Amino acid sequence: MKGWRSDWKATVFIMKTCKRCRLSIGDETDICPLCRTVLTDMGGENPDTTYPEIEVNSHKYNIIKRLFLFVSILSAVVSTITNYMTYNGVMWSAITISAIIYFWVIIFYSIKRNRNITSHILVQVICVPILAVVMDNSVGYIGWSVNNVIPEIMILANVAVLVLVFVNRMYWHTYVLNQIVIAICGLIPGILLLCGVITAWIPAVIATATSFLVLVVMIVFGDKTIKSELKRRFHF
Amino acid sequence: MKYKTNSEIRWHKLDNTANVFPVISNKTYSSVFRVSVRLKNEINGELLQEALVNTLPLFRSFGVKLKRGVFWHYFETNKKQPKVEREQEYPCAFIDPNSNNQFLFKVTYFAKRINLEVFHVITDGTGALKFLKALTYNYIKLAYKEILSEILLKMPVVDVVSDVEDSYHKNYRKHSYPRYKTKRAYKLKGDMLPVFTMGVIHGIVNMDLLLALCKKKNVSLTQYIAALLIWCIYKEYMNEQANKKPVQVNVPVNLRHFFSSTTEMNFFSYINVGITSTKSEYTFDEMLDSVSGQFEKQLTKENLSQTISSNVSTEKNIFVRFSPLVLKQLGVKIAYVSSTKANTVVLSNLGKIEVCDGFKEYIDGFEALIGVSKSEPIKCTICSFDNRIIFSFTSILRYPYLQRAFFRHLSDEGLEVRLESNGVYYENM
Repeated sequence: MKGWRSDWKATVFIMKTCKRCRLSIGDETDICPLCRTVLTDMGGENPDTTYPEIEVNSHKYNIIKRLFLFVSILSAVVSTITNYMTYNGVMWSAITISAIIYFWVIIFYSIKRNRNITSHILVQVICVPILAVVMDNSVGYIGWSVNNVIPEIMILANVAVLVLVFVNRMYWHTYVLNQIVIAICGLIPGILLLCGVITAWIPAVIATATSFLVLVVMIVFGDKTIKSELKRRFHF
Repeated sequence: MKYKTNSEIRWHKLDNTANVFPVISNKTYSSVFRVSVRLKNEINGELLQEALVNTLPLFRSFGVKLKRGVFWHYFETNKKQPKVEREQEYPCAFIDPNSNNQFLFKVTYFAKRINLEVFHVITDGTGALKFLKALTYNYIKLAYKEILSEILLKMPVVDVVSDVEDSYHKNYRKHSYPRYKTKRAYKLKGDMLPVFTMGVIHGIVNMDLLLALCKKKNVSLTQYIAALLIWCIYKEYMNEQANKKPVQVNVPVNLRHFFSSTTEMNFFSYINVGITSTKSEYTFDEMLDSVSGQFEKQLTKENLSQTISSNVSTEKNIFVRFSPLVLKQLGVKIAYVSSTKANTVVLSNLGKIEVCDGFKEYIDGFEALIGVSKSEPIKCTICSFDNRIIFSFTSILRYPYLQRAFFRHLSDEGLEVRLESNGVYYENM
């Protein structure tokens, strides 16, 4: 270990100077960082390194991402062209494209760290209905997407969150905001039923009832922690 | 038992300025700044970790994670422990609120230096320095346990514990305020360093000699340096020509002195001083006169109070308050982009840093670095300690023309300048 340099003057007896800038350079180098003039060595000990050498290694990951992106675009383009050239009234390439977009949304969302587990469910609640409606429409609308898929995904999501809450009672408060949003989404099939968009009433009624029940459970069983979490989340 | 742990969750709101940072920050503009201390011996990582664990409970503003509400972001107590790391990235890299154990700051070390990197959302330079000083005292207490006196070992490391007041709101006065118009400033352009690479140049000069120089011109240090930056840009970038756009130096101002606050959250504002070049033979003294005049005009409690009121009243606006966070983010982004158009460079003076007497002999100096962006590619900080001043430039421009002119001017004035860099300029020129 070198001696303590308590006196500033001691650190300034400099080893190398730039004759153009008339500065002394405290790095381990032969050229001036400002003007690239070759430095004049004034003797003395070599200075300490003050900064680490940085390795930038963002390449590997990018190649995989680019590869996937390329394959995605390629299959979207190929299926669109094939669909167009052999068109027989079915827009099946829309299914391919929406499935690819769905894939990317899910992948990007999943690899983000520290996401709340109920957020993943919420993303599915939003994405799956869109995907289903696109698919239903592109093969000639029959209504299976709104009649079956949407209510069932809502039921599934609500039950999944309930199970999570039950298993992790300690962390209920971290789920509560997403739980509310999912429960409110679950009321949508009921509204669609009233509007006449949904024709099969059983799944829609079950979905709406489940959501309603979830909201009731929250009001009845929600304790102080739930209330304070909602207060934080909704502060204005 | 479970109810007890849950009900202990503490939270607080972001301060008025902090609301901006989560929205505008990303990998290319990090909103991260660094304050560092240079000690006289190599840093021991394990002791530093221990010192950090001892320091964090004294700072409620640092032990938090950032959460999204429906209308605003907010801080919630973070029960995890932050990890000290050896420095291995460029300074002021983006701190993802979802990584790093969800802490919004990082402590790293290299050789004899301890770095505290702070996401601006939790605090400003003054708050960060307070934390860094407490961390340094705790570290010195651990590293020199045997030789330190009993009094020093028992000495408290902070004078005010966990003051998380939003001083903007505290000092909000409802009065009419003129809407300030942002004028587009001259922008520094040129080849860039490779992406995510940050160039750092420190210049160390003797404080007494430099202050004597300022005194001779009858200006303060910040005024002198602000004028010098404009002068260097005029010489090096504008080639001493007239230009419609003014060269604007953005100077953050610590408001704690003006409003007697001890908060550890953000409490700063800006002033903007600038010169529109209308002719081709300015002298440095002319610029210095104009700049120091603008400082005196803008740096009044009245003027700063108006800025605070203007900002706080926006936050208090009923439509702003009840619009969902997504919508607010859009608004903030638009407002921020237009506000950066008004700055050419940023100059932040952290002032003369004082430490407790007993610890002074272990400390070599302080320095600060601020993250830059494409629209503000060079930023400069001033830190004074003991009898020297460290100027630190961060830049993403490939050629350090501004820095060269700046330090050459100082050495022309008869000052001895010692230069240090992070090595970027040797490889990338």
